[in-house]
Amino acid sequence: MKLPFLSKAEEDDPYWDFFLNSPLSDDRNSVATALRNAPEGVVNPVTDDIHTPEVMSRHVKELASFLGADLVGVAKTDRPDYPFAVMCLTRAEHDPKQSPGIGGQLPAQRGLFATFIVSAWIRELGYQGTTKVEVNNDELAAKAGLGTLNTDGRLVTPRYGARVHVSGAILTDLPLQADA
Amino acid sequence: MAVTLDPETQRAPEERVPAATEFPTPYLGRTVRIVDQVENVDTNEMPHPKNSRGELGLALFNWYNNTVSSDPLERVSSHNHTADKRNVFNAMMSRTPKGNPNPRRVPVDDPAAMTRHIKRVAREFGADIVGIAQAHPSFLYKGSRYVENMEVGDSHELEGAQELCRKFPYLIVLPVAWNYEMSQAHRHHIGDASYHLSTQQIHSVIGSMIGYIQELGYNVIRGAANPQAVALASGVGELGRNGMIITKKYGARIHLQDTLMTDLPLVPGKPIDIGVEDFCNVCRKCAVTCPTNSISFEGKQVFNGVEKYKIKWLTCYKLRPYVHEHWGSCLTCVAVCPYTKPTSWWRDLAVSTLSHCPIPLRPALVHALKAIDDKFWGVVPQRRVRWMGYDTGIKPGEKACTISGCTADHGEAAKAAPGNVGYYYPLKENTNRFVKRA
Repeated sequence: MKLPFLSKAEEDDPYWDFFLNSPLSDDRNSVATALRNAPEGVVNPVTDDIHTPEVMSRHVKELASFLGADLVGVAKTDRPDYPFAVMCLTRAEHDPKQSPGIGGQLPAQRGLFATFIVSAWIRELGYQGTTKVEVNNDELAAKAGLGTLNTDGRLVTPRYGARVHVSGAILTDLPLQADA
Repeated sequence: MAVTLDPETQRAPEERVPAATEFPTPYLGRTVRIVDQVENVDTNEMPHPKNSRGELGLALFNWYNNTVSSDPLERVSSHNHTADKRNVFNAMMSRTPKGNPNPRRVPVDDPAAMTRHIKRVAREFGADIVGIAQAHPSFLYKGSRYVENMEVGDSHELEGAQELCRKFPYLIVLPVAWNYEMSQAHRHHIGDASYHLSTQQIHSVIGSMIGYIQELGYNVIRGAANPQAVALASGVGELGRNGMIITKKYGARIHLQDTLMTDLPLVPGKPIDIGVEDFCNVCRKCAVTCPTNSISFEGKQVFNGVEKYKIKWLTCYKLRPYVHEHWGSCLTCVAVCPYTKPTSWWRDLAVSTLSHCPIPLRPALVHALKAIDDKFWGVVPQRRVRWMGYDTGIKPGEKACTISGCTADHGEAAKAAPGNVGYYYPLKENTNRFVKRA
């Protein structure tokens, strides 16, 4: 008898290691690379009316999780130009920093896809929203209440443990309500 | 006796291999039958290319090319209603440089193992169904590729359909399902969001799959074939009265996009039978609810050598500029289809009962299932849906919120709109402005 939850798909798959770990022969074959190099659009010159910060935070989280982010949080930053950071986390069975293949990079790609559209949406609302500013992602995610930092400075979440990838922060001046 | 050589092949006429044996007429399931010579579809004669040349009138031309949406979500998910294309994922993908196949090709000893692997990888990328079909010349478009808003060029564009099918014998289609709750809000910004955001997801799936097949060292051609034909041949679903592919797990709520044609060795699937043929014979729910009466109440027609249900695409398309303020994609025929239900055991039970039922007994079963559907989901379903500040329970034109795109009442006013009925523009009373009911 064949039970779906006992399927041996992983053992039967001789190409799975190639998917996860084979370095790219051509970097342009990766959607993650395209997302990292994508130019950002302009901020809409007409500022839309927006809801209260609590409602906007809820909407940002709803949109990001619809687009594939597994955990979303809002942190307060200490920058005057971008007072808030929206953190999108994806579950990562394999650490994208150690698995260079397209499959290994997939958690990063899924996170970048969500941050691309959410940051574009914030810009279309008429507010600053960027993913191009370098910040300490893990630290900000911990600040957003999504988990705590371990001794290596990596994020550990209650739901997925250390098997998460913080793909990037959306820094924004959209009035939001910070978590935690 | 002198033999006259054939001028094309330079061989004796009897040696000429007839095309019919090399590419036998494909079986596409019970809903679609190829009865005659099929002429390849010319991409220039399809609705969007026709419209971008201005052949469908000024209103449609301006809607398609010169309209910026008032809904901020549509501005980041629909490449032709946005103010800045850099804010739209698929427009960004069309401008990014394309990669090349890996010169060190991964050997494939067992196509079945590779098929399992590709299906697993596609699900990881986010595809909900994976269809693989044997390429057939009649599936291909005439001459050029069809990839919306994408400047694609490949070195095989001048090759004939048969030559392409010999070189790249497999076609892959990667549908993404729409969220059930959101697609119930047809003719509304919520339904638009589920449609347009799934477009973005599917562009990411297809982009990733092209990149991965090239990393394996094989070639991919994007947008060479008609995705509906590939979906039928590969067993993704059957063609319904509403002109949509109806699938076993999701019903009509799937988004097909560009097909991939590849030389990666795979095992093609077979057409399925989930009883769409018997259901569409009886149901007509989509034909009744279609706001433009574009769906036929009658039987199948033969068009371009294919016997199938044919929708009137022009009336479907013509409505759009007049309702642009309220929605971008109609989706009514998807939302009302009895096959479109949330993923659940009772849905699987109903579909598998129908597909295991002997064909002569099916009409009776279909009548029973249709009665259940009418009873619990309504003859004209109008469910109220709320998502991200959008609310379909507010009548069009009566919105209380000033935020662009948002139709919700907030706070006090929300109590003014009780009930579970959603309002979907055009309301039933002014449908006949657009087209007379037959």
